[in-house]
Amino acid sequence: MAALAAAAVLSAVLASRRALALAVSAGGCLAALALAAPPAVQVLLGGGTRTLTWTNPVLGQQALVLDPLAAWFVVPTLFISTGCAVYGVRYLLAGDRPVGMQAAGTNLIVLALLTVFLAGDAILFLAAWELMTIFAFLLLTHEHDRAEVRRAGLLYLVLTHAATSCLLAMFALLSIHNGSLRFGTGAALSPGAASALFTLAVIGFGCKAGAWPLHIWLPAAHPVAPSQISALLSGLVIKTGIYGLLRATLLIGRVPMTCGAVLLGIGVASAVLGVLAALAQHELKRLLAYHSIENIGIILIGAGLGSMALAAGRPAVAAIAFAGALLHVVNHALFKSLLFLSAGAVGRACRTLQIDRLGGVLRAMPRTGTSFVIGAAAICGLPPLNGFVSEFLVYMALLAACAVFPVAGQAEAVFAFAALACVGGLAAACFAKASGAVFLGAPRTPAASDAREAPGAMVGPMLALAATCVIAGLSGPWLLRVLDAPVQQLGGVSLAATPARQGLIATAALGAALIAIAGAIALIRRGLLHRQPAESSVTWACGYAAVTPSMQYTASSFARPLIAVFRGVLLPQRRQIAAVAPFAATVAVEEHSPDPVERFALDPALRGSGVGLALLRRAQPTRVQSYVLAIFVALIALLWWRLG
Amino acid sequence: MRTALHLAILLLFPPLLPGVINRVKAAFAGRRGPPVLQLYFDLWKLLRKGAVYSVTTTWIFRAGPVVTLAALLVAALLLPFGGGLPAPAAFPGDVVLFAYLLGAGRFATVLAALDTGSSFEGMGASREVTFAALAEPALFLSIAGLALARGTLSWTAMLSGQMPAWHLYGPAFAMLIGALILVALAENSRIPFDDPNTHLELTMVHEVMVLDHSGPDFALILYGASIKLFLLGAIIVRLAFPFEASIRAHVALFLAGMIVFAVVVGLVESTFARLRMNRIPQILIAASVFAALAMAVILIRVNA
Repeated sequence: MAALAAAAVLSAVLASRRALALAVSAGGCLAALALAAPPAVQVLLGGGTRTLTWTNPVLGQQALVLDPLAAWFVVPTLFISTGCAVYGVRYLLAGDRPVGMQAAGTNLIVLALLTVFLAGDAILFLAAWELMTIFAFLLLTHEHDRAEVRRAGLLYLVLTHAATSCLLAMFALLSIHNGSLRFGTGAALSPGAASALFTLAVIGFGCKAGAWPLHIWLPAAHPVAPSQISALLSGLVIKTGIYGLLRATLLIGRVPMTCGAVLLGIGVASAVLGVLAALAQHELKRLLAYHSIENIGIILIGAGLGSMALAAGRPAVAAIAFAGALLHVVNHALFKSLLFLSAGAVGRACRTLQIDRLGGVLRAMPRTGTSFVIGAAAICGLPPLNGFVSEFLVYMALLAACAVFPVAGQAEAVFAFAALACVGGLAAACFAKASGAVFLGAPRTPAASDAREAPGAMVGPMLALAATCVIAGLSGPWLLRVLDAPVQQLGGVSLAATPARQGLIATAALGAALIAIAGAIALIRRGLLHRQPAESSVTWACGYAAVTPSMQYTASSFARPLIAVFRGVLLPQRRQIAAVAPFAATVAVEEHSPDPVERFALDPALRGSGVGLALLRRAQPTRVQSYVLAIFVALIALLWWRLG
Repeated sequence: MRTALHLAILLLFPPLLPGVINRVKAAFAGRRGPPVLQLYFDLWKLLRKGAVYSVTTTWIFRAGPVVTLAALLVAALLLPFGGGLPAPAAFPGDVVLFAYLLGAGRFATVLAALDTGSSFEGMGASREVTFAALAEPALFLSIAGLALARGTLSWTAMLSGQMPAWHLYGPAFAMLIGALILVALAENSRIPFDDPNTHLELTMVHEVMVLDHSGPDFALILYGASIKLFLLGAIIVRLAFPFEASIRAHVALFLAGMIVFAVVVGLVESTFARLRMNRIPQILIAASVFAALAMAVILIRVNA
């Protein structure tokens, strides 16, 4: 951490020397990785905790506590932030804006993230939490001369602050009950109090995580940030919400079953509505942002199911569910940052991220494109990649819950199981659309055909992340070992004692078998084609000769049948200029699906509060004397209240 | 030995099924039809041919058929053909891996289709992913229903042994079989969802996605398609005819069941019309409703 702080100060000082500042910033992340990763991995493998204590003259003893749950979040933070910082050097240098803020901010936000994960008491946690929010705001408003960037930044700041007030209330109530602000385990609370605290935690942390319906800031904020910051936000910062929620369940102790059921329901809603909204997007980074909501939903399904299973007295089911949620946190961090980084590279090369203006980019940018396709397959949960392993655990926990829960819980688990299956199919459709329209086929515009491969310093982190996605998908037995300590902390039993053990080992083995069989078939195919020269020709268009790239099926058309099926949820708005006569000069059709929550909840609320605040402004006194009078009256009232 | 027999059935038998279906359809139309072994001849011929590649395609197009077939073969390793022929690989949760392997194969095929840049193939790919996404809940609900009724998370335990569950869960299993038949027809691009005989009409789905593949690549695709038909058929056959016998009689019974399945598919193709495109989602949602009802019956039984 000292390395990070030093790097932040140094890169702030060096802000005028752009390249040097960014390099120092990346170096700082790398140093933090080298210094902090070994103890975190040790804690994961060996269990136990490490504590760093000091005495604060005002607040008394404070501590940074590295327990298995914290370590589980710290390791990917270190790894991914390093990748993002390295990528950011070339990415930001290609722009012409000042980079000092970005360089220092990246280090500082990583520092704040680590403090959030390691904080041993509520004050330290909340301070780090606020700093993280503010740094995220500063980083994502890099291009602050654009109005949409400022709007997105403000929306983020306002919503997350509003949610933080819930967290303040939660920690305050908890400290009243415990008599201390330090984080312990399992306060013995009445079911009513536990439910109230849990609700506050779900609102406060759910907003940060981007859970539906508090997600609205997320699809606005992530696309406008520089790509490595989008990756950092989507991969790591929203995960603090999950961390907070898991930490809160540990602090609250026994959470009633209904609370877990509500969380599971929020997870299902986030997953289904997130992926549907993603399907309707026309801009690549916005599409990816909505997929973050979907994946947060999958994580919440795991977490909610885990709490339900604990309340139902089924620790084995809880262990599988928590393992799925925790593993998906890391997996999503890996493939989502990979996808954002490759999308950013495409945006730099083609100067647009409108999906229907791209096409055929894989030819010009083979390594970026291959990374994206691997990330896309991983996020769809396709074996043998890492996304499958965690979704597998969540599915398995749901199936196991069907068998052992009380009736209402069974029904909900079955519903979640089917919904998750549908989400899987929709995610595959969405990423077939995104990777197909952007990277495959022929370029639709000159911008896409002029693309050049990104420089090595940008491609390197992408390839590293892609390789990690493949390796993590094949390392089931090893995952079993590193997951064990955090799962035990949350669920109470060892993962190795559950059927998930055989599942993890077998999926890894069969994933390897899949790769081996594919390799064997590829060799046979090569042998067969070796005898016959392969010919090249144009794509067969069923006899039509004058084919142009603009005749390709567009991404919007690709998603259209599914949007039509789910139009009752998505509420698409269509504008059409139809051809009225032969040889019509303009024919156009446009379809957008604005977020229903934004349309029907946020916008009216903002309008309403605008009106209300205008009234308040009118009531505001204009003379200094009236302010002094008001202060005086308030003071008298306070004195009377305390002393009277 | 049993694993070898399992693999032999799995690798050699599937191409027979499309032949049987075509013979049934020919008989209904009053034609003689192609030989039952036609697909074997086609595969042999295609494997010896060269290939033509479009200039817009990349490695994705060449990898598509390979990945699809590999995923289907691994999925086949998870499926038992009865108590005498357990799956070579079985573990709790293999049902989920099975479904996702089918998904992985589909993803590879769809990306390969999009790689050609052809509007026809894009259209087919779009419909394929739409129907697959809607068929997924029906498949998973059926899996969950079976898992709950048999108290296991693995195909081998679910589809092997005498099925004591039938007399308890009769109505539920009948509905599950109905849902699974719909899923199998949709996943294998059969009538009423898609017409395997055509790729030049407005309802084209699967056939049009593979327009640009030729030679050995196309052989891999045809072979993979027959394996997919075989796999989804095998689940239905094991569920509908849960006999157990000595190994030789068992294999004969199972293969006879598969032929009956192919005849049923042929009957459906001969007597039903292909559905209009906007009707298909409704039928797939109906399949999910069937499976959900079956699940409800099973839940009531289990808790009773």
